[in-house]
Amino acid sequence: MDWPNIQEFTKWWLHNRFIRPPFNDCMFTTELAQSLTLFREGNFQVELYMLKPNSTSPWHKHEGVDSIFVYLGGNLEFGNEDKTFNNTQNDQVEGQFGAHMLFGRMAQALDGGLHAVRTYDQGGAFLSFEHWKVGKPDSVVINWQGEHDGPIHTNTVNKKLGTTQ
Amino acid sequence: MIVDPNWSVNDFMNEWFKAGKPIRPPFKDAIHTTEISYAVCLFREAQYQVEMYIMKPNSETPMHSHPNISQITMYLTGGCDFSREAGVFVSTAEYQKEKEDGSHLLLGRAMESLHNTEHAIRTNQDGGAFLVFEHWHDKSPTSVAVEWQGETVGKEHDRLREKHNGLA
Repeated sequence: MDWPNIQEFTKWWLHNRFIRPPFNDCMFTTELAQSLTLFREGNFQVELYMLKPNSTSPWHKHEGVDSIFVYLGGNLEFGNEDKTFNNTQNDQVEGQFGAHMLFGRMAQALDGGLHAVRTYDQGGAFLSFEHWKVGKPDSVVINWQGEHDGPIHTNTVNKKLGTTQ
Repeated sequence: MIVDPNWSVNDFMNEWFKAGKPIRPPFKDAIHTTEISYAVCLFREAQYQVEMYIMKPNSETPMHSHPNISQITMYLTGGCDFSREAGVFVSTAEYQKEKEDGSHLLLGRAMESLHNTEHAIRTNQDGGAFLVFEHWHDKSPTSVAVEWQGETVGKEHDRLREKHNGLA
């Protein structure tokens, strides 16, 4: 299968909800996040991210990757290219069918745009839809330009890239 | 997806797949973390829910049970061994292989636990991920990490249980 862009891939997956984690390079851990690739095909993939409560990632980029983030649950905020966060504290209420009011809302970082994420006391979960325009997909936790979350993140990156510091 | 209160946990699992694997995490009690695991509830309706667990590499739970919860654990990926008897894990080492479609050989393999049955899980250097389909018989669902009988995995897990059980 192939998709012309990240928008079409996101639409396709949300309609079909294919859960087929790959055997290789599918789970990564940092101080504040755990990822699992739910589906990967060619240069496209969707990763599930779960974030610990009360944590903030440094501002960072994923070079050569178009990303669309879809809010699942918890209390989290995405940061924009101008280093401001989208304040969601007034939206921490129950929406339709018992889901979070923000469930399904999207944010994006196209062409490796600068972004960040922070959580409050419940932690948070989101889907990261990705089109890797350069290189083969593993995880945006690995393809990360900017300060790491901490030594666990650095260790995860070094282990994957086969380097030590 | 409308659930039938007479469904077994197996019925719920089958219907969830038949309905196209709906993903709709609840507003309340959707995400739970411990020292060794992250869990998100993908779908909850009445007394039924499905949680997705990701366990850290080289981790192990003590033997434990989930009182009055029937559950089916379904393998997704990574290296997970399961136990139903203290100290005896069924090794999946020989099945740590890739299928033609790039997924794990054990993807979709399921194991049912009747309520109050003791079990444990451990992971290899890759960590592991699985789905847990649950039928809660006498309480409103939160997470099987909360409704846990037996030694916990650590202080973070203790705090999680205390928070939910009103002991904090």
